[in-house]
Amino acid sequence: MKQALVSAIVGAVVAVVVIQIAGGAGGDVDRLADELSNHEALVTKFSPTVLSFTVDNVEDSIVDGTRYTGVYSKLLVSAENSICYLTKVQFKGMRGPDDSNICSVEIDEFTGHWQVNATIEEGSVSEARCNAGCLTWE
Amino acid sequence: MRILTLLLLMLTIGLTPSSALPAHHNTQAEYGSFGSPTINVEGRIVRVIWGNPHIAIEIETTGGEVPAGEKWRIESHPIRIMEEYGFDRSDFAAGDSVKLIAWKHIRNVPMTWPRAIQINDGPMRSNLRFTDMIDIANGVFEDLNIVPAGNLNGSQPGRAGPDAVRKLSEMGLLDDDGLMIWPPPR
Repeated sequence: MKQALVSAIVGAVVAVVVIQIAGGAGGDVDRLADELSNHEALVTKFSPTVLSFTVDNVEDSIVDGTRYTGVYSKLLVSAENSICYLTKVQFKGMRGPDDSNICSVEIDEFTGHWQVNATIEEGSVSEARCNAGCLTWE
Repeated sequence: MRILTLLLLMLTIGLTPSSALPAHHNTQAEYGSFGSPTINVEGRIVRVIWGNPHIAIEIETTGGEVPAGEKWRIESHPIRIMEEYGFDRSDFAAGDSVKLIAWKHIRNVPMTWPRAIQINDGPMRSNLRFTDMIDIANGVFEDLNIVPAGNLNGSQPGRAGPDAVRKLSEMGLLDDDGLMIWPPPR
């Protein structure tokens, strides 16, 4: 019985305090929000990110296995503010299970740019055509 | 008999090797035409990737018409073509300084295709015979002080464009088969 009485008193006190805080501080909260929303540094920091897409390369990354094998890479955009993805994967003239082609995108560690790679592995005679696009943000 | 001849002709055409096929990759779509403006690039070689389908050389720029301290990739021909132009893997080493007359990539990425290459204190050597032809046809080649491409003499001039071909013909620099004559006959 004593415990129930103490709980009821504590509950009532908390409720009164909460009501007073909410009622009295409402104006301050609104004023603070207004000031924050107009603060130049914050407006700059939290301005909306602008996303844009790059167009694909004019030319695909191509390796023609009837001429050469190996990797051909084309730089795309700086990897600092972008992510790139394959937009084209085309393998032509495959003649057997050993014909191996790869299209890939990766970051070139030297330049710090994304690059799209077309690879014809040794012993293959087919052709790989690869292309990529990128999503950049500022 | 006529049918047999026709069939043999068709078979022959079908089996003609790939000399007439388009190149595996069109550099002019990325760097502009063979006669388009070039820039000067200076740098120090960081890494040489001597492989097919294109050799590549990574440099840190030191000057020219690009800011110093940037990381650029020079790309060029396949190994066999580089050798036909007179270049060898042993010509390039990490740490060497290079000067390039080069085409900048149209998308403004740090890639360049050399029209001519100078390694350390060596001569400025041509890396594209068709541009040699265009410059010869326009009468500016000798002023550039570039060693002509090793395979310039005897080359088909068609890719230099009809205007250059006409001028070269008028200058007496094409033989009876329409192939380039260089050095010029005295």
